[in-house]
Amino acid sequence: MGIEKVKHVVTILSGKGGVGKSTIACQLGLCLAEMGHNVGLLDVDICGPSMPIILGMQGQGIMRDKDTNMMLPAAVKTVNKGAGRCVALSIALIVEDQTAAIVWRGPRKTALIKQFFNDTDWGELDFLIVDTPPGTSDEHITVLDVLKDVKQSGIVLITTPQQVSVDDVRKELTFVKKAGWKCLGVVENMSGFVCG
Amino acid sequence: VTSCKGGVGKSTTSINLAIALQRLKNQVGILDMDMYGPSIPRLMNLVGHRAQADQANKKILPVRNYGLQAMSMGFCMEEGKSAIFRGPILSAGATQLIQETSWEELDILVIDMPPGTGDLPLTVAQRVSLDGAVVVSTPQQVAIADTVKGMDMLRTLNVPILGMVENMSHWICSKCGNEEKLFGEGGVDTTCKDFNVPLLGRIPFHPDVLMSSDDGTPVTITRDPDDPLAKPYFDLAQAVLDELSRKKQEENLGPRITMD
Repeated sequence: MGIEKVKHVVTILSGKGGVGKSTIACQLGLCLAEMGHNVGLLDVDICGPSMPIILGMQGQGIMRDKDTNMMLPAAVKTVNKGAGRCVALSIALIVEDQTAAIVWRGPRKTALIKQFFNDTDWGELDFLIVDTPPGTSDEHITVLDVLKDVKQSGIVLITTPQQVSVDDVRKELTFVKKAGWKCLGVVENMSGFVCG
Repeated sequence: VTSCKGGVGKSTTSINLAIALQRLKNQVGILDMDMYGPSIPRLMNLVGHRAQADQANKKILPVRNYGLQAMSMGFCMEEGKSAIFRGPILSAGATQLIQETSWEELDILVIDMPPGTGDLPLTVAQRVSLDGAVVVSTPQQVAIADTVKGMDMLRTLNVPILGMVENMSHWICSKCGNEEKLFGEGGVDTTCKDFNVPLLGRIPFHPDVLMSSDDGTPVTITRDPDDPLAKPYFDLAQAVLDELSRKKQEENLGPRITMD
């Protein structure tokens, strides 16, 4: 089934690492689910997958459909009775040894990311939130390639107020424009601190 | 200087370590291997500077500031442009920066690595005979989970780990003096024990260090070595020199194998 029955795909990007993409991707997805929408959370960061840690899903594996052999994303716990279905997929939910490095060059990462989109039974979803690693390389080009015919795609850029981060977001915006993607907006994360 | 996790302060640590090493009387270069988001030009107040060609040797000349020689993708591209490349082209670009920079004699080359365990770290480890890695992490569990993978990769690639740096270890409120462990505590200490590597330093989170990155005026240049913000980096530099020296001594004590 892949992403045929997904209404909206929102990709979370930032040129800079450590600005809170994964945290915001997870919180955004969970909020939408608690509001009653059906949500998928896809982590395409193969080298440093953070989603399962943030969602408290470490050690939770994923299953495959016996008939179609498609991957079945894992269920994410929600709180409200009226919450929609919330599921997640990450390489961290597939590998057994969570401490082993995944040292892959681009083509292998590309192949797996395509499987995450096309060989996974996401079912009917209102939103698929895609969490990406920092930068503008294989993972991002692959996501761009897979989503090029999906009309509802949009991206959300995350930055902190720091100039070093804003520099990278500007580069990322150049990438988004060149790709012809729709930028839904920018989130300023860690914008202030209230001393306890 | 490496960490699998992004945003833990590798570039800030790299530039301050490099300057501290230079102020401890070493000839130091800094090589920025972050091809997507090179930070070193901003951190060195060299935004807009372009590397010049060394026509005679068909190489690229490093750019200079703060007593350092520096090379970065940021000196070879227009400001604001992004490097949208798949791995093989990125690796080729990285290889060029490594092999075709016309460094003058250096005691130490500090390499600022990008996050991740993909093409770029593999390329660096294959092209450069690395004397050691300084692994940077915040105490946060999400960071530690990735950092551990990075250290596993270093072991697989036979890169010696000199030790770890706990960055953003605590924050001190400038108004009331309250100390907050913003990112938790203990994660880096435990990882050091698990990997049997020393803790080379703990660096506090301070807005002035952040602002110095944005302004391109690292604290190790603007402050004395015993200033509370600069001292952790000077202590780190000495710890790195001590570890490099210790490793060299260990290699020299090994058995000599001769063939007749």
